[in-house]
Amino acid sequence: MKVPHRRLALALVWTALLAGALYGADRFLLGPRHVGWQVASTIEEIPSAAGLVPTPRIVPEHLGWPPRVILYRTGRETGCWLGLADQGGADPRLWIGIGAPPLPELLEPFAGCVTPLRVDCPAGWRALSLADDGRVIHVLGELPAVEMRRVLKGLEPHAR
Amino acid sequence: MLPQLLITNLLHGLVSLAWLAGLRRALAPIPAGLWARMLTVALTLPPLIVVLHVLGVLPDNERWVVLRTDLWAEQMLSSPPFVAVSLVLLAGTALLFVLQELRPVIARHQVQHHARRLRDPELEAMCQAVRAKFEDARVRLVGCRQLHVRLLDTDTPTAAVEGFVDPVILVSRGLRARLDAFELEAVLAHELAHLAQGGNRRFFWVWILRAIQAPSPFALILFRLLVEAREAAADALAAEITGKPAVLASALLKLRSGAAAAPHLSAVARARARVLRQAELAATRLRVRTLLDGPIGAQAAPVVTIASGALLALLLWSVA
Repeated sequence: MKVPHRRLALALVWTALLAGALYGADRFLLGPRHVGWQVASTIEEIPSAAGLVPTPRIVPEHLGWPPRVILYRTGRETGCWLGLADQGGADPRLWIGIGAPPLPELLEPFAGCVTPLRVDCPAGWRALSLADDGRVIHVLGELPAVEMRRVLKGLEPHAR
Repeated sequence: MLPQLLITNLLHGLVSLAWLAGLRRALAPIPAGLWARMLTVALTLPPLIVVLHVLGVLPDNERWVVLRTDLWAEQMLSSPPFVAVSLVLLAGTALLFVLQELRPVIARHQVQHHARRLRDPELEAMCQAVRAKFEDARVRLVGCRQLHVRLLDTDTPTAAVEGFVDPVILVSRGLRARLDAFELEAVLAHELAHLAQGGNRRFFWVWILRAIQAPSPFALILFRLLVEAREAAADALAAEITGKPAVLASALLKLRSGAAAAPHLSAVARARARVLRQAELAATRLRVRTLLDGPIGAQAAPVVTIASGALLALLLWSVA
């Protein structure tokens, strides 16, 4: 049986047209994909596509809640970082986060803290982490070791 | 994970349906057998592509994505009213699957199993003669080393192919009594044409994939189209083999002309039977018209099915 070339060409053209129309509709309705880290003003604003939000059960009293800085990432590599500052303070003194490198720009000074060897942490900062089910939750803080451990303990249910 | 997979499957179903609708318009007339095979591919590929994506077997296609399913899922799931309406729609479609595709299969199975199967030498000889015509036309009957034909001891006018390994053609006593020899030959050719197009064995796997996609309204539409397309394809092939499309049309009309709703049924059951009968009559009218207008050819080269399947697979791969 002969393969009708005209029909095959028509099928190709129609497939290309449909793909083009779908592409146009997708980009027009949903806009470009936000790549990299995004800023949210509240925890509720973080989309479910960002994955797990590492919300601590225990926060030292001197730190304010909700977090002063909220960062999230969607797409193939999801992630979320919460920065907690002293009550009335501006700069975060505790960062709780999840997500593979690259880190958000604000956290670049802590890049050495989240490596498995934990080298090169800024002076006065400590890093702890919790691993379960292939995910690692990091806690970076300029806090006493006992407070850091308490925060980490309060994160344990997230990893189970 | 599950909502995302469901939304991906729904988008794949929608894209398949849109692709087929446009293709049917652009390439009309499509041979009946090819159309049935394209519908089979369209019903089979969406779950297959999702499974391959989940297993990570498919190559990375970030640059070629036309529909970003994760973003669509995020948008859809972020609207509670949309989620509520969708859940009602999906549950309704799943219910339709049970009522329209699961229950009738069981009911038909029960009717066929309760009736005795009798040997009928005349019917067997006729079936062998029709089979010889298929062999002369070099049309292979799938999975038919031995072909059995039995007379089903019931007044209900029906004919069917039963079984997966050694299929049996069943012709009811009621149908045999209504048809003349030519019409009976056309009916047997129609049932043999089903075997030539894969028979119950192929349809069983398609049905399983349909069952997996039970909540998808697009899978529902594709499957209903496929059921009609299989009959049209078998009609076209039977007409091609026997060379008598009008005789098959006459047999179809006789098959549907009897059996009014039984008076002992409840009002609801009578109404249901009336609706089903109207639908059957409409389908029969379409089949008869197609046969009398001249069937558009039963078969197409396998390479055409492969090419169309590859095109759809490529399109669905880019919906990720």
